[in-house]
Amino acid sequence: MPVPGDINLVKTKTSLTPELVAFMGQLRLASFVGIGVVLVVGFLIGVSFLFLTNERNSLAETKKQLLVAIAADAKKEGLFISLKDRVPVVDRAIQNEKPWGQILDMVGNVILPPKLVSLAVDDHQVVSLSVKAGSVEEVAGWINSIIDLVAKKRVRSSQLVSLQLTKEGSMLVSFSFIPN
Amino acid sequence: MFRQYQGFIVPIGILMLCVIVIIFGIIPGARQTYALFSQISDARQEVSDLRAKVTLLGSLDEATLFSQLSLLSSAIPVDKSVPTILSTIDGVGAATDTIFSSLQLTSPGSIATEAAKRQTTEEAALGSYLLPFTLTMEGNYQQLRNTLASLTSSRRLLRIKNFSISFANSGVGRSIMSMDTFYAPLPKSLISGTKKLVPLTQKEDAILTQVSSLPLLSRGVAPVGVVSVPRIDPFSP
Repeated sequence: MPVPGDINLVKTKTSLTPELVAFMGQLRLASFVGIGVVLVVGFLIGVSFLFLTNERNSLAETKKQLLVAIAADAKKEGLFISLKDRVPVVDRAIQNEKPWGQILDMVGNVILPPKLVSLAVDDHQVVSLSVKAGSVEEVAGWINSIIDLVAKKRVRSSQLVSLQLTKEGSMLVSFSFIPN
Repeated sequence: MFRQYQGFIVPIGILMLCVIVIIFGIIPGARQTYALFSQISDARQEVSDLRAKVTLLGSLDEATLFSQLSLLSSAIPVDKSVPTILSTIDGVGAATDTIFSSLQLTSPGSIATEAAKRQTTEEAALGSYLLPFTLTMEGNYQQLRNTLASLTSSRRLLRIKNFSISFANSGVGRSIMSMDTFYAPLPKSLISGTKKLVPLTQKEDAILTQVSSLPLLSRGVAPVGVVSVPRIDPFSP
């Protein structure tokens, strides 16, 4: 109820549209939520940072202790590293060996001296044989033996390199193959 | 007008402050925390590896390691070890009754290990240096066969690169062999620091067993077991 003498011609409050009033309310709410989120996230980050810093320091201390323990076993470590380093080197060298004894056994089963004149193995593991034959049948026998070795997959790339008839009537024959 | 909108000032101010705090406080803080988290993950892995290393080193016996390394060094010495080549060939000759008529070291160079010698492609693939030599021997077919088998199965590893045998009418053969022997210096760094150490695998154990089963044909010369004990500080007394 208006009281006498309380008359003011200037409006004490300006009127806002209902949309602006609603927007202001939403803005207020957003500012409260914003403050809340910033505080909570900031707190979580701060606590995590402190916890992780502590964890890092603890790990650094543990690492230091472990390194001291390892340094005490430096001699063993050196021996072990040398051993680990040398094993594959020895393995590769062993793998690089060829069983020449077995290959000579194989050749010996086919031809032996004095029919076998020479035997050579080159850098590419190609075995070359020079043999002296008294007859064509003998040569055919050796060729069959080598074909048999190829069939058994004991040798590959077998070749008759040369066949030469000498003045004495004997034959000089050269074979080559690669042992598997 | 100002009075009309003054209700907006406080929430907008708060929101702007929030944005500033997020940009200059929360984002850098989160980044730092994430970086710290990554550091810790690496550090945890490192500590775990170091723990495994301490356990592994604790489980190893120094005398066993020394004998295993000596065993491998008798197969591939740490230097050229010419005496063991000669004694192995001598041992093979005695075992197979073959006569070795000549031995020629192709490029012996320094008697011990040459410092910073460049490896060839083949040497790099093998992981060891090669010392080539030529060996000439005489014997019948069986003797030569046994010699070839012994040379390639002796503890001191030798490799026959190529060879030729020519037989006389009497059946006696003369063989010329181009051979290589291996040597590999110890690794330069014998301290792995924080690197992980992996125990010997079954395959590696099998190789050690295989090497120990190879006959040591060296005669008169002790097997190469000269393995220097590593020191952390080379200037320490």
